[in-house]
Amino acid sequence: MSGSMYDLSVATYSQEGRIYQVEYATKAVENSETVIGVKCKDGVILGAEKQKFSRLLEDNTNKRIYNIDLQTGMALCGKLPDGRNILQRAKAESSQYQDMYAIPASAHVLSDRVAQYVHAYTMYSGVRPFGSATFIASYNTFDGYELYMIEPSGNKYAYHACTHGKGRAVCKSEFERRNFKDLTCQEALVYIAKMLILAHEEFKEKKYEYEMTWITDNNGRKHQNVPQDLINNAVQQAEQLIEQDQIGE
Amino acid sequence: MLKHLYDTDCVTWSPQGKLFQVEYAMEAVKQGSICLGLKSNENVVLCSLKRQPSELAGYQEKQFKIDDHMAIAIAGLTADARVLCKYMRTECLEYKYTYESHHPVGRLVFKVAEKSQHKTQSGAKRPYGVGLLVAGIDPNGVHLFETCPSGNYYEYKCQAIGSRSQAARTYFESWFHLFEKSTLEQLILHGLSAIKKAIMEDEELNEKNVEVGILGKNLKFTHLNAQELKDYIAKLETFSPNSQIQQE
Repeated sequence: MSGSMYDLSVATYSQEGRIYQVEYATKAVENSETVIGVKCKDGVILGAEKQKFSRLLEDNTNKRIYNIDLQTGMALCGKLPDGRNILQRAKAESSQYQDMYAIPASAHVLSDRVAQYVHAYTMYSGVRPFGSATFIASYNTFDGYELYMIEPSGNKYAYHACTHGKGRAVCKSEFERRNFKDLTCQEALVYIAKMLILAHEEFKEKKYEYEMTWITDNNGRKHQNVPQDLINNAVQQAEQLIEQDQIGE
Repeated sequence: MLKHLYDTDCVTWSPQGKLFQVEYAMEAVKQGSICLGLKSNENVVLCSLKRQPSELAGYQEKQFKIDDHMAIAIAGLTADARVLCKYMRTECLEYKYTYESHHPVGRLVFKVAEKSQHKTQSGAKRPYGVGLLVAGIDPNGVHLFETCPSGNYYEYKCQAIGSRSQAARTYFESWFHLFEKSTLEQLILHGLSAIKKAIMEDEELNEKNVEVGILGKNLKFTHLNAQELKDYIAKLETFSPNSQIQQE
């Protein structure tokens, strides 16, 4: 898929009205590690897979999911440096909102600001679109639990479940099969782990780490890391589930 | 694929979703001479091979102290490294002035990564052509980070970057399980052994072309002097990781 002469600058439309540079930036996200966001009965979970591309890497570092505020979290998918740029902007926006309005910015406000920022980089030839999709999850008393995903084009939507990265097809089919609204966060952990494991089915021999965070009724409605032992259990159970599915086939 | 269309500036994505200019900047790191870092529970050691532009010239320094508790080793464009080094030193000083304590290592690396990323997103700029190994100790523990021109950074148990660094990484993969409990002396000897794997056949390690920097929980960053380097290089003859296993 080459855009011939219309794909060299983000300030150029193709004859069909496409902006190829934005589509290429989205490709960068599509080729990267999978990130999932899911709204459950009692909270929101964000999950990401991290490939340990070297044995020399330190364990449980090199995060992809960050806090923007006590009750707001952001997961980065795609090129991490670009994602971190967006993260810094989101933190600044959130802080400024709190200064102005004395309440924390909820996801629907924050995602709007972040989306505008991301979109701005798709309008000028002197810069390039971000090669990163970001997920924002939050809780506040007025709006409850919220989950948004912002794409490199600047598009943003609210979701009850969303995913991006290499394994997005696998995750989307799992979303259709299972109604996460009926599960508590604790129960859903297994299925999140299952999706993250299936996402790298072709690269089974490599080592992966899983990062999961949640905001739930049970953890004080704050954005925190899921305890490591819960993640480990979920991964173990997920591996068993996958084996059973494969035997079933 | 018509690579040449998409690889002239940082603001053009290729059809496969790659930024070629950033990838080319990473090549500059691979051209620099090797530097490596390794850590135990108490210490971090940085070793580098210095290059001499000509017989009449001195050797290019590769390790710079950022603060008492932090130092970097560089591979790539030295001039770009100087900019980052100055930035890190200023940040540490300001932090010390404001908070009267040492700048947490991870946060400074995050700032450097952020700065590097900004240079990859404008048509008028170019990425930094240097990779840093940042060694530091703070209340969170002993750290070794690698930063890249792309703005990515990773925390490692041990890592080697620069020319012929794969040989050193292979040495690390075989022996890194010993590093956690190693003494400072063993760590230095491991570092020098790893560098030895990466030198050319006609070269040899001596106190002029090797640079070793050490950092510990109670040890401010220092370079080994010429005599100490000579002694350690001499000890290399009789050092083998196997002997360390037998001791434990």
